[in-house]
Amino acid sequence: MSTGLESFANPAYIGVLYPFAGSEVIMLVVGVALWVIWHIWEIGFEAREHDKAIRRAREAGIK
Amino acid sequence: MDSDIGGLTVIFTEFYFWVTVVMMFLIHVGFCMYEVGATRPKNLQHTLMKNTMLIPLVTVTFYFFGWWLYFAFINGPWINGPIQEDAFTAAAVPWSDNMGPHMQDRINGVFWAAFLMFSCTTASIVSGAIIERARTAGFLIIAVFIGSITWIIDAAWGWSPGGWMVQLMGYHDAYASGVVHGIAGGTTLAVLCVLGPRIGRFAPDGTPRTIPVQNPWLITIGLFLIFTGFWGFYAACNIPILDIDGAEDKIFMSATNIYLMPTTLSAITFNFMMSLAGGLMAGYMVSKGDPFWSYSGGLCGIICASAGNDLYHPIQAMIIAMVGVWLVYKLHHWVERRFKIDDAVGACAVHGYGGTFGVIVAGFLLWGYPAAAPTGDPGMAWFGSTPEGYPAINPLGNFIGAIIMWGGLGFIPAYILAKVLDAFGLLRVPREVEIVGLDTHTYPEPFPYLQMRDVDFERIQRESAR
Repeated sequence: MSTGLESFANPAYIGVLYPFAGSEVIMLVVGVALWVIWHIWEIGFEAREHDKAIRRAREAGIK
Repeated sequence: MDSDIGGLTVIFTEFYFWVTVVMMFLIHVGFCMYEVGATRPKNLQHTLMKNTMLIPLVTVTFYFFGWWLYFAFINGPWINGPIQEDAFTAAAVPWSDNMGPHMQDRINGVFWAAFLMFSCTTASIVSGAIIERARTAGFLIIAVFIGSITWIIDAAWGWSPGGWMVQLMGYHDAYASGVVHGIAGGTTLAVLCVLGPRIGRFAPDGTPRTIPVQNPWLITIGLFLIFTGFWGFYAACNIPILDIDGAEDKIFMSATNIYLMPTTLSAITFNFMMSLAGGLMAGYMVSKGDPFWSYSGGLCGIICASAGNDLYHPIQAMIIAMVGVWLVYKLHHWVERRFKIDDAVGACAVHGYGGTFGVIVAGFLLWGYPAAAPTGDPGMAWFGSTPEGYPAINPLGNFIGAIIMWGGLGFIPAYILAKVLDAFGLLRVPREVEIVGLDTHTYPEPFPYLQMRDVDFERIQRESAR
């Protein structure tokens, strides 16, 4: 069982060092999805926080 | 690495760019300190997190597509050829073997990271100008837009030996006056035009009001750190060690600028310091000793001379910096009064006007110098070539280039994006949030109103809001 390399002998012939070489496209799809999801989450999170801030401001009598 | 000198060159280049990355990270530390220092207590955490979070978002997007754009778009595309397809482009796609740890490629990662630091700088320049009323959500989209799309396209066009602006127009901008600062300043102004000023920033008759900063010393240290990081910025604009002679029977190793044209680290060190000195002197003089504008003058002085600091004489760099800072200072205050632009840190001026001025000046002073080795037939440049057929640096090419950087890739696309974000309510915080403070909801403790504290400007702001 090996996720990548089993020997560092002959380093001149070694290319990639990371495990699961060959799955780069899948990793890219996951990475892009996480990036887009983060933006969507942040937009919603910030909107909810603003609603909370507006309530606090009104409670404090600030308009 | 099939020879001793080849091996040493690769390992030195790898380490050289790694060091520049570490140094350039200080620019971001400086920007964060500067912004926080210029922010009132009720908005501190918001300002800090808005700037900090651009780092991860620009990083991942620069990995996903920004780095590929730099190599793929050197021809426009379709201005001087199609989308570029070569070994560099193939190595920059995010599914390439070279975009990860690889025993046969020691350069891609450090070179990518050096460019990434430029990306973060462009986005960070925008961040400071829009503090205390911009939504983090909208800003982070703008940060990705400039950091991983527009600036890297302008770098492909005008900051690459094969870029179409270099090859066809003789565009020269060695240390990124227009490529980084011009586009960032244009983008900033566009966003500010749509965003509008902070409530109360201008009196009803249009007179600008000074908003008190919470920590001038933090601003001072921040700007000093930006100066420090700028050394790394300059070094990263060079290719450290290259055989610039090209003859088979001899070698002549030297640094080159980003266009692979000769310069030395010593040359840019002379000019960095002299343009910094000229900028500080002019900033101090024109602002009559104002610390903010003296420091900003130093930064602006470097930016004004950066386009040609690979080749200028140090005294030329100093004079360009002094003239540029004087012009920028006057222009900033005129724009502020005339158009009610609330640029909290002077970014439009220091980076946008200063960078554009620097590109235009370089076209005149370096007129006739080779811009880069021709990638196509010699003598094809639109505005003149050297006797050897290299595209020649010239005033018209740099003038048009400055407009492309500031306006074509800076102001116009950013204005459209800002309008779209504004239409979706993603650009500006609600007015109640701006009044009570952007930290109120998550960090109530430092919030001044809820603790029955007040300062003069807060009262003005609330009155203006009514």
